[in-house]
Amino acid sequence: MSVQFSVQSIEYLTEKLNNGRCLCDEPVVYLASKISRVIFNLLEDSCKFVRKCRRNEMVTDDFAFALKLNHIKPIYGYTTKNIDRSSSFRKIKKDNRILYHIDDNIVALNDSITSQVLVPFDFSIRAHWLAVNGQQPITNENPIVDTSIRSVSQKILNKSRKLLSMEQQIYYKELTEMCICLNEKKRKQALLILSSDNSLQQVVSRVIIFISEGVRVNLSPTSTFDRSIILNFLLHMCDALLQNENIFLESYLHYLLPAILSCLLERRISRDHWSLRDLAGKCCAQMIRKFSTAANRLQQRAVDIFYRILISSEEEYTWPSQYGAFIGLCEMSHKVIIQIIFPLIKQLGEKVRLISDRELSLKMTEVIVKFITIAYRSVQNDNESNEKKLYEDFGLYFAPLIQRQLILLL
Amino acid sequence: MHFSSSSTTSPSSQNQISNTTNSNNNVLFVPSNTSKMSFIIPNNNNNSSQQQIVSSSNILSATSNSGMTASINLNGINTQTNSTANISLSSSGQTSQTRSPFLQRPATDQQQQQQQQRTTPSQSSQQIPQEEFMKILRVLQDNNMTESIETLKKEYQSLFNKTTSSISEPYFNALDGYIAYVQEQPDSSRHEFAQLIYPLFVHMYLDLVEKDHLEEAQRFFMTYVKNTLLQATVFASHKDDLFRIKSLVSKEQIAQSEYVKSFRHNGRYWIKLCNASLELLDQFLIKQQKYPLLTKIVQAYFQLEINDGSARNAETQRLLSGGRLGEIKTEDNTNRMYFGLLRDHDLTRILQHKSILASSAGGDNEDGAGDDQPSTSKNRKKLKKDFFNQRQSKASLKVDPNAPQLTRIPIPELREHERMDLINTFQEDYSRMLKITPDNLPSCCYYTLLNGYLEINCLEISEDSTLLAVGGKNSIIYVYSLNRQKLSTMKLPHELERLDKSNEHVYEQMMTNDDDNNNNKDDPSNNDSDILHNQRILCGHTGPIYGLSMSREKWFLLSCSEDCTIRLWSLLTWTCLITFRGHTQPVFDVQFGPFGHYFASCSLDKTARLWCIEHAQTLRIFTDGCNDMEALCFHPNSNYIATSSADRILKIWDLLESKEGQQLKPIRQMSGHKLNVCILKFSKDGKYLISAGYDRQIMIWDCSNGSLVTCLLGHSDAVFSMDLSRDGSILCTGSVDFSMRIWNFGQLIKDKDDGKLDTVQRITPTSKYELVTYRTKRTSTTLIHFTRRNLLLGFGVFIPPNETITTTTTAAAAAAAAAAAATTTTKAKN
Repeated sequence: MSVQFSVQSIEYLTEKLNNGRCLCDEPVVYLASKISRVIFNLLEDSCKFVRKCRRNEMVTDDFAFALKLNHIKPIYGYTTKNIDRSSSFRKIKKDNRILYHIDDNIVALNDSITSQVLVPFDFSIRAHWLAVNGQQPITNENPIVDTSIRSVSQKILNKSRKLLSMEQQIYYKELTEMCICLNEKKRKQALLILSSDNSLQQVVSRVIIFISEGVRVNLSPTSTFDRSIILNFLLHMCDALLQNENIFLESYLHYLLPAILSCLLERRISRDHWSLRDLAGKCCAQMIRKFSTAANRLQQRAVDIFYRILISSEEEYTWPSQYGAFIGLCEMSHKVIIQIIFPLIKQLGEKVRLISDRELSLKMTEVIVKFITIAYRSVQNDNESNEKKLYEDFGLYFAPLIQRQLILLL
Repeated sequence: MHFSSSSTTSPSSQNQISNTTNSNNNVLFVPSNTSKMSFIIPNNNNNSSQQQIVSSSNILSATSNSGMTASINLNGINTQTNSTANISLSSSGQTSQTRSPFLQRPATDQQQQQQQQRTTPSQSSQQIPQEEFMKILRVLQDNNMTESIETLKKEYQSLFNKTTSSISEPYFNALDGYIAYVQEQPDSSRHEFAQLIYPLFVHMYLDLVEKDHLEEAQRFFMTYVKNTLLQATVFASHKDDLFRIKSLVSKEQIAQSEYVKSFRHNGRYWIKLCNASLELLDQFLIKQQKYPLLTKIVQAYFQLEINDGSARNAETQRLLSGGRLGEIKTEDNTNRMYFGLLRDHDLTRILQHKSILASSAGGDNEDGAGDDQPSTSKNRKKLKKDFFNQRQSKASLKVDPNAPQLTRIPIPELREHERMDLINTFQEDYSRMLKITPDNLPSCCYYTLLNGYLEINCLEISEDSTLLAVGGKNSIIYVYSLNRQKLSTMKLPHELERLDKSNEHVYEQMMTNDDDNNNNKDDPSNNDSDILHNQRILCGHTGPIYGLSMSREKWFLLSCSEDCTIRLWSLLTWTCLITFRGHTQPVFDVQFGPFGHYFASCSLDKTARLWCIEHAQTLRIFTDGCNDMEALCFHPNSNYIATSSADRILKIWDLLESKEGQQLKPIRQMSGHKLNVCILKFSKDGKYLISAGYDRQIMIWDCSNGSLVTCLLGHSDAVFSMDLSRDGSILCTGSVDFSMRIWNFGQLIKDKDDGKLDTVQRITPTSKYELVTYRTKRTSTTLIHFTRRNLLLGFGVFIPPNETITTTTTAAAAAAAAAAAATTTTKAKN
């Protein structure tokens, strides 16, 4: 037989059991072949069990039963179920009696909840329609229909739904080209189409991929020259799409939102990045207003991101990023400003005051004051401006500025 | 003509040795017989050829012909020298160089020169002392010193006790010779002769191993198994066994091997040949005696059966091969089998009975009042009369001549509630049964069992499709209710006593009626797809469950397990009623008879047993030599069971007791599967047996004579489950290739009866009768069931994608690495 137990391992065992004396060659070779044969027979027997259980793989239990069939005591504790073998099986030996037991550890509830420990699931049965009148319905439970004759026609249908007609392809091409061309008039026209055409649904998936890919490429650090203008155009497209009431965007959010957020929170400073961030903030807020539900927790997730950036130190996120986060938060709603931004203003004031870059400092101050004032005004309806409270809330840096702004607005 | 044909075949056979033997044939026959026809023709001519050989080589003509009784081994080698001598003759005639590479050839050459000597040249001449030895031999031979030659040889062999390589030479030559002989046959009958190659090969290999020439044996094995021509034809249907044979490497192993036992000692290898082929073979093997080794094996282990007429076609023969001991004796399948259905237990009959009852009741009403007594007697009379009428009408309806007598196997009367249940089913469901046609394909509801991979062993569903039983590896049986009915238990004994037994609702009353509010509370809380809220657990076995069977009325559940026992569970009290002990090895399958009461089981202890739920002892034991029984199936008339065993032969057993002391023999045997059979089913009319298994073939057998009807092909992996629709016209099979296929069984049988079935090929590719394929997502269907209204239900355990497998393999790899490390350390130690 080609596969055999190595003579060495037999030698090793006999040596160990025989107080260091090795058997001579012949019995060792005999033993090796004998053992190989025994193993072969056992495997053959365990195959019977595998076959009976209608499986394709052998598990250790099958081998254990084969051992039992040959009146050999099975080895305990080697089941495939036990994932970590170290804590699986213990042997207690007392008065020449051996007891095996499973080491049943106490698992903390927290661990099982956070799925650090794999909890074996119980059986469950699910019923579904595999076929109705000879047709397999297209559901999650059924596999993707293959090449059997009956399903061919269906397949063609499915494909044709995904394929674009020639006209649509041309439409898509023209549209995207217009959207990023430098001709202001044409662009306006294209954006108008994006925001109003209800036949867009066919090409919308492509348009969205166009946007998200465009953002990805133009934001990448390898892009050599400044392309903020293209980003700007792309965001305008986003904005227009979001305004369109007739198309269904929900299934593409996972493309759209990351693109917008990366424009908003971009680290690098390009030429016209403030306006880009403003626009992205607006888009983001609009999207969240439109699509956020309790189920997808879109708003909460966005707030989490922005808040984390805003309260972190300057080393981690640059000021432009924090500016973006601030805009993003502020654009969402007054409620967000009041609940989340107001407590932060004092702290922000201290930080902004320390900014050495004059342009940056000015921009930050300007935008913070702008949003805070509006929100503050909506809360404090009565005209009497409580100066003391203002100082208390917003700190020394911002309070006078806001106060002045309030007066200006009046 | 012959010359040219053989010379064309010889290049085609890639074997070097077969080449030489081919040319050998030429040399032998061309001088004596000038045409090819010499094969088929008469003995005298052939005898002359025999004489020709003898005269040409001039060696012991007497012993080679009559010496079968003498030491065969010696004999074989002797004639072997004869033939090798001829080879060398021929080769020397053609090329003189071929001789020189083989040192063995000169030895035979010398023999030719010294033809008076009886020598057995059996030394491998790779060693130097051997050459010396040869020189001495030659000198001795030159001087005609026979005795000293013998003694020298003995001495030599005791000194250099090495295996003599040429011991395998006769084996090689004989088999090559036979293969070449087969190649020479015309296409139309070649396959007939090819049947012998596989068993010859196995016997030769075993012989070689038993003579302790392991290396030779392995060389022998590899030479032929690697031969692509043989692989495709002869060995294709015996792959499983070939692997097993290869693993036998010593005498003891052969003595112990169950496989050899069932191959060698269980009977003779059965081969069916047509008359002409048999005659030819007879000439080749017996009359010519060219390879006495072949003759000896054929005489000892083979049984040749002549079937009249011309040779069967190759495809049929290929389909029927695959059994461990060849094909089935035709004689074995000639006993009468009563495969018809029992009329009195037939549904129509019950229904008629019911209609009679109804009409008589109606009559009563018309009669109006009157005391009860006479009216019932009248009723009875009327019933009796109707019964007679009915019997007559039945007779006119043509009684099935193949049906067994009702009393052949005593079957208990149906209980009243069962009868009612049957009638109800008939009225409610059978009348609304969906007729499945190619235009109206069945809908399929699929139940996927999740998280159960490697844990769930078997599934069983009740006849009315309401209860699902799941047998687990953890020796627990789970019972689920598939409709939303509660699985209630029976009331306690003291409550039962209070019940009025004459009440017709007594069967409902005896069950505990859980509070309705409770039910109502439960229902809305459950999702519609959740079936699990209603589960019962049956504990008792101490090993994995391998088989389950539910009785028709849903009162009993049978389970068989690795712990060698069968348990009967009550589904009313949810307890174990009896443990049937008797099997000595794990029990692999158990099934209730169609009318309950009886059940059969089969086991790894190589027996199938018949039991009855009222006795703890076995009623019948059906033993099957050396083969494990793996699956079984009851005949719908409860008179027979079919089993499949490890030798891949299906057997049908008669449950009627045979003569005392005589071993029960199967009434039908069917060979044809190439790998193990997983599932068997009788057709609804009891006439056909359908079997399927690991070899992907779905084979349909005619019970009346055990012949193959057809073989359906289409699945790309093992078939594990099947069911027939309630009207018996549709067959559905489920496989590991994640698909279910639906076949038009009714059409097939109709075509067969009309004689339209392609009997030449006997193999039916998917397109002809397959209606549709349903595919599942990573679930291999292990149970298929048609509901009473012909809705198709599929059940399967979801197989998770390969994650777990990879972890286990990595673990195994780690273990292997550890082992390797251990060996290296030991090496270091040494």
